[in-house]
Amino acid sequence: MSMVVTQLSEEKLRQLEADLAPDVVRIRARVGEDWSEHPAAFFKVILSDAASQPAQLKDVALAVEDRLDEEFGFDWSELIPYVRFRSESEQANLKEEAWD
Amino acid sequence: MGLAQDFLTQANHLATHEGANPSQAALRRSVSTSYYALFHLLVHDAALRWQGGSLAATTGLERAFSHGSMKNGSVQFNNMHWEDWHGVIQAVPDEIRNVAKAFTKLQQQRHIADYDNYLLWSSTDVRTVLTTAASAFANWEGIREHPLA
Repeated sequence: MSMVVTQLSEEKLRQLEADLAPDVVRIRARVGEDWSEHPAAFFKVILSDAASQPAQLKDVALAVEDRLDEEFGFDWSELIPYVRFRSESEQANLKEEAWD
Repeated sequence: MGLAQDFLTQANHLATHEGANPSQAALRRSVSTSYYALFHLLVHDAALRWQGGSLAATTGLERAFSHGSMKNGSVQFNNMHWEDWHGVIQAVPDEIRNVAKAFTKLQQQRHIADYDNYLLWSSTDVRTVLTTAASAFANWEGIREHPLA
């Protein structure tokens, strides 16, 4: 019988923030279901303004996603990871609580 | 790649043509169009492979592909191995896994962009969606003749 993961380790998330700094400022995560009701892990990642620049963004985003896959074992998990990114300035403008 | 590539080009245009502060409408349409670009790329190639290329036949088959069934297929190919219909375990090439993962991600983002009016999008977010779509196109180009494709 497989176990459904209901939450992600806060300790791992804080360690990831530290490891990926200064590009990564903050990571918020929750477990839920995607549009097709498949178990999923949702990440909201705030990046520094510098890391969000077009010339850096692709590599930074890929590095973050690879680390999340590695730390939480998504290649072997039933959870599908969905990662969204926003810069510090964008969040300062949009002010969405879920990203704070 | 025809129409699919045009959709991807349009997705890029939608994300950038309003300048430094694009509207939520433009960002959402860019996300949605990115998904449909990949959807059409995969459906068209699948229809061509099965029907040989007549416009009428491929159009009919393309319409049979549903978003849900393609999601289920993509989730299977997210894994490193796939059991085929004869029970044979086959290794899934990295390029196919990358396309499958991209399709799954883009489908979820498209769902949010098209149906959740309360979640906001940023240019950074949409640029990563566009990158995901572009990478999937590049991966597909390199693997489209593979038996598992």
